[in-house]
Amino acid sequence: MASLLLWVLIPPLLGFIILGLLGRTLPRSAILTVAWGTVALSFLFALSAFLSLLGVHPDSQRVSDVSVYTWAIAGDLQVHFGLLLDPLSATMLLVITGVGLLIHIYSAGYMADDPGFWRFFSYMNFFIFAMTLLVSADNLLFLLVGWGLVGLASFLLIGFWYQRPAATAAARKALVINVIGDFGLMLAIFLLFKHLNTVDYGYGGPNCIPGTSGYGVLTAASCQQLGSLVSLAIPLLLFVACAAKSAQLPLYMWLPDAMEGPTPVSALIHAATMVTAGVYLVARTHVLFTLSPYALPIVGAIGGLTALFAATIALTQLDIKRVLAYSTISQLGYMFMGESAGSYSAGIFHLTTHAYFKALLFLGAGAVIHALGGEQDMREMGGLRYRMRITFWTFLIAVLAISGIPPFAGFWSKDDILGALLTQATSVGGAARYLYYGLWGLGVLTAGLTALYMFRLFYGIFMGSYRGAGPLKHGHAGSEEEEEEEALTTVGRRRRGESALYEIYEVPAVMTVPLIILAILSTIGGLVGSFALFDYSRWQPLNAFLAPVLGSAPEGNLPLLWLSTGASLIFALLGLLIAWRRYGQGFVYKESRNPFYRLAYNKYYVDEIGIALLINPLLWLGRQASALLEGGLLDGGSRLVGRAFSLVSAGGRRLQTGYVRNYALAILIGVVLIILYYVVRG
Amino acid sequence: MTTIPVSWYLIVSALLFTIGTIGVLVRRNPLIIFMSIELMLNAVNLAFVTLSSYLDSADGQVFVFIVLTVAAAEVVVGLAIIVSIFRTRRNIDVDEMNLLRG
Repeated sequence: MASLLLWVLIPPLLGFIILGLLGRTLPRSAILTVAWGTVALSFLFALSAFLSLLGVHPDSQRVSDVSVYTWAIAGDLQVHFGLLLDPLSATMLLVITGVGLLIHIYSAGYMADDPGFWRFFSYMNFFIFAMTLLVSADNLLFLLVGWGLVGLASFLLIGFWYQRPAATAAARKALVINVIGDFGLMLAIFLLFKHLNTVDYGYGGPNCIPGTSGYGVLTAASCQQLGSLVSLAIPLLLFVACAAKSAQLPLYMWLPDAMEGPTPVSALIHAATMVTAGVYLVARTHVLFTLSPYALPIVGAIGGLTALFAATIALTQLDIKRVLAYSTISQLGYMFMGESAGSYSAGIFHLTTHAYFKALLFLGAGAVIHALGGEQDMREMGGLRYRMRITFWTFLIAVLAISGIPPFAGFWSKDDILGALLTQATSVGGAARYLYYGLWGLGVLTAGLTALYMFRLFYGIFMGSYRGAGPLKHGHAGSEEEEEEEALTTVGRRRRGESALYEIYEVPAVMTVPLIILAILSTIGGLVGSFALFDYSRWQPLNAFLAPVLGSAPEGNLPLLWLSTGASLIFALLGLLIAWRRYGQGFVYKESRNPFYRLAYNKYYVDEIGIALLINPLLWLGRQASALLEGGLLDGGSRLVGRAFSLVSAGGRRLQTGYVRNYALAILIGVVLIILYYVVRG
Repeated sequence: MTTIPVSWYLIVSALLFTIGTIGVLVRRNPLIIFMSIELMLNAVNLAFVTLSSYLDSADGQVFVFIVLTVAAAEVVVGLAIIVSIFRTRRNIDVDEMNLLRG
């Protein structure tokens, strides 16, 4: 069964190799055949793996772990390259390959004019490979391999337009912050190995008692002997990795900058799949998180703060991709909140629906950007509903979904999380109770803010009248040179406003079809979740499917859940109403002097603070080290040695006069001396 | 008739060798230096034949033939070099030829 997983992994890898080596010489159709074909194969295999799991009864047997080969043996440590197929990895694989396939198809339209067409698809295939490796690995070490490789793919794709300094800077930033996370993950693995003698998720290790709480997880009983400090350190280190990959406070800064990459990349990597790796890791290793009473509350607190923090920034941004980036960060915060309440399946559920509607939002934004020839500023948009019908309707569905308006997908998953938080708040005791009440409040408030900023974005792009000047002439890969040229022609720039609207055309079908499919998924995707509001036991396919791995989510009582839902719905509608009042007639940008607005508009000056507190001291340290160590010690030392040799040889070189007879004399003296020696010795 | 003792031959040979050596060391004209080298070689030849006769063995005389042959070959090569140097530098003073100085 798990050998199917190998076939999920191999096609994208082959695609990457073929495109990477031969892509330059291949015609466009061949590139697309390879890129689409490999991901489609991967999706089909993931689907059949999923279906084969469904066919297994009872559901506690739904696991297969196949060791493809043994990678390393060192003492007690055996590292297998093992593939784990269980409900959690099957769900993740379906999301990754499914959304990945749609985005591959869409990219053919979006990247159509780009000279790096083949390079783009080879990187994208590489990403799919790395991500599927991450979720199907059966131990933390190979998870780390996948974890690092997706970071690399993200780096390559953010810096895809490497001619642009902003893109390379963003890529570097993303890589550096991701490596901080990788480091946390590594330390966690070291600690786990030191104390439990295993890096596997569930089975191995002499100190682990297998099979006490199902399969595919580090079993709770096995880890009792960890000290309280270690049992807190391991989950926190793991969470450092999650925070870096999933853009949580304080390691979120790279994600907004990652929007410098092509929009399909933002949709696939920086919204739908890669950034959810952290959510996956917490779910996968949740037993470790339950060992310490502090670990999950910390995760929840960071998630909640991130959700609110990012939402307030999203309220003020003008670049449509940045709004979506901050909204992604905010939604990831939701997922962590849900997991912190012990309802891991709620986190995974939101991950799944979020993948649909956030990919849809990004692809819709990409369609707008494509139609406008690279324009990303909301001030230059408006009224596009007349010209881009399909994008308009699909985007509307996505906005409704993310705002939590029933019956769209986001409503069900967000409610699942909020309900879980309230349930947790009423069931735990002590100070944690206030924390969870607070988190629930944060979640509800953020739900309102989400509706507000999403509808602001929606009205800004599609409603009102057109404020721009028609599509920019150049592609989205415009270099600075081109921008200058653009500025020069602005004086005689074509008509502004309504009449220029007719120069804008809907994007081609290769881009709209994925939009439509994702819109359908965003509408009905909530069906797989739990309809906790009506009766917990009746319909909860995803919950029940994941239960063998994640344990069943704590059940809440119905009035409480209705209260939670009602509150979040009221807030969401309130947000919608405010957005409608303010922007319904079209988005008008006003410079605001409100200090809170300025603060949020400038992203709380986090980047500036980071530069002042971290980057500059580090640079200073580096320069000093370079001057002292490199210049003084190393260079100075080697110069000293050279100096000494040349001083010594300054005397010796006088012996070499170049007069043949001097050499002859030396030979003669030598011979005489040798003869004398023998004569004297007798 | 009294024979001349072997030691006299050897003394002459040593004298000739020393004269040759000094010539090589102090003269600047390569032709003279060559002649001095010939002198040294012939001093050695004299020692060879002396001892060959004294020991009643032909080995020494055979050696002399080899030395003569080598000397002839050496002069040919040496003169060719001198001519070639003279052509490029118009001068064959050995003290001027110090390009190999360190």
